[in-house]
Amino acid sequence: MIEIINIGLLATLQGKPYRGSRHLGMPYAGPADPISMAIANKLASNAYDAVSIEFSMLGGAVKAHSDMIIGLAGPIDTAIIKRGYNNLLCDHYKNISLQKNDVLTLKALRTGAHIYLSIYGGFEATDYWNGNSTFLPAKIGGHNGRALRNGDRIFCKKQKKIDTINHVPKRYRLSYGNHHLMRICAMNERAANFLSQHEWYIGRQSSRIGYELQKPKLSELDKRLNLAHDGLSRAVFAGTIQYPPSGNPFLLGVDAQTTGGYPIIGHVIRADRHIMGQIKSGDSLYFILQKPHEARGVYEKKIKYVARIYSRPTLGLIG
Amino acid sequence: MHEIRFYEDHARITIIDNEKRNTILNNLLATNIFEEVVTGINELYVKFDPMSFSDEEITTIISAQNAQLVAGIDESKQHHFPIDFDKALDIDLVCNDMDMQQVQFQNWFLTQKFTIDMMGFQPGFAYLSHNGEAPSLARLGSPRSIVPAGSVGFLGKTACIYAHDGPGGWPIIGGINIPIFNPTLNPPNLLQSGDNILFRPI
Repeated sequence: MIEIINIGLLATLQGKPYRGSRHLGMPYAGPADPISMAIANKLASNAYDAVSIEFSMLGGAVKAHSDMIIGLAGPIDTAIIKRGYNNLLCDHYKNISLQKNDVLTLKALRTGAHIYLSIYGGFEATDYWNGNSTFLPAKIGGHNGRALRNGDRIFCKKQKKIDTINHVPKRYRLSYGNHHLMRICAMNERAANFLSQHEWYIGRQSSRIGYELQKPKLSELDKRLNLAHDGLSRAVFAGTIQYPPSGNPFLLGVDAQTTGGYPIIGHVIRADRHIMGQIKSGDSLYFILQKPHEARGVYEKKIKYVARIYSRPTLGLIG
Repeated sequence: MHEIRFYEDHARITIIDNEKRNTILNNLLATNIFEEVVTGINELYVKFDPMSFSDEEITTIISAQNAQLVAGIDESKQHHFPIDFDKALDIDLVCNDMDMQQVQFQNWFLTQKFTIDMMGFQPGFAYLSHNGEAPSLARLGSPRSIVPAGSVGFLGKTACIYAHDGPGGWPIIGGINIPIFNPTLNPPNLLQSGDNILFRPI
C-alpha cells in the first residue's frame, strides 16, 4: 500500500482507457502521455497499461507502507527517498526499491506536464466498462472516480519481491521541452496555411480536456479564415483542432468531449498525440504539415519504437 | 447510400437515409473492427488502426453494411420525462427568439416528439431533434461554467439533455429530475441514439 503525502497540483490514477465507447459519449480518457506511463510500467515489470499514478505539473510525494518496487517516468528533475534520517537521490531511469516507511518526493522539471509512478503489479482501481482510468467529468474509474487527495491510501494488486533490474537506456530516454513540434493533417489548404505559418502558444485554458492555442497578435490571414460551417455537432477525437469564433484554435486532449459544434480545421497525427500529454500553458508549438499517407508512415515507425520498449507491438498504446 | 471521406485514422460516412443510421451504427460496432464508431446528424464516423486496415479494406467493410440493413432490429425505446419549467434559466431569451409567450412556448414544446439523434459531448449527454416548425437559435454568447445535470437545452430545431453538472452554452428551457447517466448501472446510459422522448409537465 502507498500513501499520498503530497498530490502536487493534481494526481489521479490512470490505466486502461475507455476504448470503443464514444458512441455513448465516453472519450478514451486514460494517461495524458501513454508512452511515459508505459516506460514507468516497464520499469516496474508491468503491462504498459497497468494502473499508475499521474502527477500533473508539480510532482508530488508518496509514503511506502511496505517494501515495493516502483518505476518512474516523465519530466522528473529529482526523485529523493527519505529513509530514516537519510535523503537518497534516486536514479529514476531504473526501477527503484522502496522500503517500508520510505517517503519518495518527486520534483518536476519546469518542462513537461505529467509524471508517472508505477508499482510492481499495478495499483488497484475501479474497473468500469472496459477501462479503469480516472475520468473526472463523469466521476468514474481510478480511485472512486475522483482525484487523489493527501492522505489517500492506494492498494497494490500484488506485493511480490522481484530481483530484476530494469532500466531505460540513454537512447530511449525522452526529452521534455517548452517548445514542441507536432505533425498535423489539415482539413484544407487555408487551414493548412493558418496552422503552419505561425508559432502558437498554449493559453491558460490548458488541461487534459484540451489546449487553447494563441498567438501574440491576430494577423490579416486569421481574419480571412472564414470557414463554411453548418453548425452541426460532429464527432471529434483527441488531437482534433477546432476553430471557435474567438479565432484561437482549440486542440482537444484525452478527456475532451466526443462531439463538438465548432469547425474542425485539422488533427494531430496519430503518432504524435502522446506529445500532447507533456505540453502546458505558456509552451510554444509549431505544427508541421503531413499528408495522411505520410502520417501513416510516421505512425508505423513510432510503433516500431514502442515495440523496443515492449517486445510485442502494443497497438492501441498510441492513437 | 454512402460517401466516405478518409482522414489519417478515421473516416466520415455520409448517410443519406438518417433513419438507417442507427442500424448501420450497430452493424459496424458488431464487426469489432473499428476502434470507435460515432454517430452524427446524417453521418457516422469510424476510427480504425491504419496499421491493420487500408482505406480500401475499410471501404469494403462499410459497403457490406448495405446488404445487412434489412436485418437491423429497431431497439429504440420511448421515454416520458416530466419537465420542470421552473428550471428554465433562459426562457425569456428563447421565447423572444421563438416569438412566443412563455405558456405558448411551453405548450408547443410539450406537443413535440423528440428523437435522440446522437449521444455525445459527455457520457450520457443526448442530442435531440423534432419535426416541428422552429427557427435555429444561437447558443449563449458566453457559455455557463456550470449547467446543472438534467437541464434541457434548446436551439430551436434541436434540443439536448445534460447528464452531468458542467460547462455548457445551450439556452436552458427546463430540467428533468431523472438521472440519465448512472455509473453503477450496466449500461449506465438511460438513453440511446434512436430513442424517442415525450416531455410532460411536472
